[in-house]
Amino acid sequence: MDQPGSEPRPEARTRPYRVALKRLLRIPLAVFGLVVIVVVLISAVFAPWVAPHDPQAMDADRMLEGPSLRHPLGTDRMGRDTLSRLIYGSQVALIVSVGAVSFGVILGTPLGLFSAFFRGWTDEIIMRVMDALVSFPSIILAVGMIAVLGSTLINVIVAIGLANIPWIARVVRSQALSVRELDYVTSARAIGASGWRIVLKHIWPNCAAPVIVQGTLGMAYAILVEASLSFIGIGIQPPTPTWGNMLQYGFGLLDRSPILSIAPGMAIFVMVLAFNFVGDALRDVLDPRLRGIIQ
Amino acid sequence: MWPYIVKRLLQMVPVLLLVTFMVFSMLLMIPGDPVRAIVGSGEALDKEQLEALRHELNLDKPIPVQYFIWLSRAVQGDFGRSNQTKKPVLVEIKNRLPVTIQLGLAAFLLSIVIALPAGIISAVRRGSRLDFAATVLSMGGVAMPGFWLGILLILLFGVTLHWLPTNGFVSLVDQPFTGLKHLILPAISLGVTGTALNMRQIRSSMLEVLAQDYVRTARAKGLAERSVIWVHALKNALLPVVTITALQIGRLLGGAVVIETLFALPGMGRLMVNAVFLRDIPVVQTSVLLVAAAVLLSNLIADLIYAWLDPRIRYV
Repeated sequence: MDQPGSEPRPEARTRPYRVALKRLLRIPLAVFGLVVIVVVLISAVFAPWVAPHDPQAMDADRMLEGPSLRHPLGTDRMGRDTLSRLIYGSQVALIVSVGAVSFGVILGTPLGLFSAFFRGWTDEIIMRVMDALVSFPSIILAVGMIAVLGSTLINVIVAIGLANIPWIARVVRSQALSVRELDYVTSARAIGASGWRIVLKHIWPNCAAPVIVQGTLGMAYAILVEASLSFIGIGIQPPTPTWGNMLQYGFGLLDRSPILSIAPGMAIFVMVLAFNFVGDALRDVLDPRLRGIIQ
Repeated sequence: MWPYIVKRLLQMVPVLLLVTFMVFSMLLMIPGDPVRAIVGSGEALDKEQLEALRHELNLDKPIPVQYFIWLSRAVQGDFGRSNQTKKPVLVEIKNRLPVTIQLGLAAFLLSIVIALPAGIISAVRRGSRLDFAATVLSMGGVAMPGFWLGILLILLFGVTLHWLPTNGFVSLVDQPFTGLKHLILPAISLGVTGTALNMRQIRSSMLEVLAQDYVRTARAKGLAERSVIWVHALKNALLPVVTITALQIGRLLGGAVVIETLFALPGMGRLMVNAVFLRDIPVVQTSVLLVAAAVLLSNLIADLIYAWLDPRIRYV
């Protein structure tokens, strides 16, 4: 059975993604987005070295200061450095969004594949559950879960992640359904490949592109939802700095120090923008047909 | 049309049941004693009273039975009592509903009023500066956190210029003018994402339609460009907009939670957030259920409108 040429060479299989990356780097907005994401990622990981101050360190002599060389984005009412708090806040934003999207992908992908592969009742049941899940707006779902379980980091991740599952499952299913009718899947079946082999080797790799796109756009949304939850005070609690709870804190001092509200909001905005840019570009680069499926 | 309506209604039944079960199961996820969560922690109860309540709330019965009792009461509008105010949950929500409805409608109308002309113009004048500006704005709008926009608006129009009130609610029905002044900033903040999404959708579907043969025919037979765009093209370009606006109902209701908190509007969103702080589970549970039901219903209505506008759908 193991004839030469029956399987694409490993390089050939990875090439589409290298081609896509090259094309991605030719789109200015995508490059902007990637740069923002990489910079934020690095500063989040190396926060203790990157941040100019300890995010919790109070300084009674420098309260509510405007921007200065010592404090580029000023200080809050306790004299804590806003820039340092923003940098530490990015840790929560990234942990929650990566966690929530991974949660959605890990559960949503197999559900979508099962649906497409078994069809019939399995498909019907899975998709109706997804329909039900989708009818809860992410924030509402999160509010409900947090009301019952409390607002820990894990609960916030799971709550936002749950809302991701149906979107991932739906794109995987629709992609898998169209792939399974293609000739090469029929021929794999004809040479006697087992069901699992077909799903894992032939169908799943073709679903990766829409999952990557949906996941990237999901990151942007997860950041927004996490910030919203922190802002209304039911997300990650202070003293852990998050962009949302910094914004809530700054809002209380809006008339005295607007920068406390402007800086964290700008961070959220730019980060969401960056993920949107990369997601949109990935969609165009990986598979232009996805335009209709993923909005 | 009727077979389609019946089919869609039947499809909705299992989904609605699943939704109610998911909401019901919030009670099962409560760590510790659910009786405490439902009655509130403020009350000192001895063991006997606790057991009596457990029996009264049917929490001593098997889960499917609990669900069935809960559901049959919910269908009759009995969602239990708030463990804070002790009033029926439905009464609490009814008082708050007009605020959220007015806010949501205002945001929705705003998004249409802005997005429709903007989307059409940028499609018709594709590549122009106007199109570029609209595209930049819609990219920014999609990424803009509504509550941050709200804060910036408060900073500009409230704190700095003192033009508009920045918190509180006055009903549009009682005092239209004052009400509008109170509603305008929250409505913009809540509507920004929807506006941007609508603009994007209208632009792209308009572009698609303008490239079709029948539009060329309309032009070829000498119709004025104005009527080609506003009558022939727009009709079909609006089809996908129906779906995308229905999808926004969920976003609006979710966003209202945040925007009502920001502008101190006494709506359902604010009620929910307060209920989370007070651990008032019955109120949270009922609000979540109503929101999900509203989303399902609006999706159904959108599908029906779509089928009515585009008869091809009914046979798919």
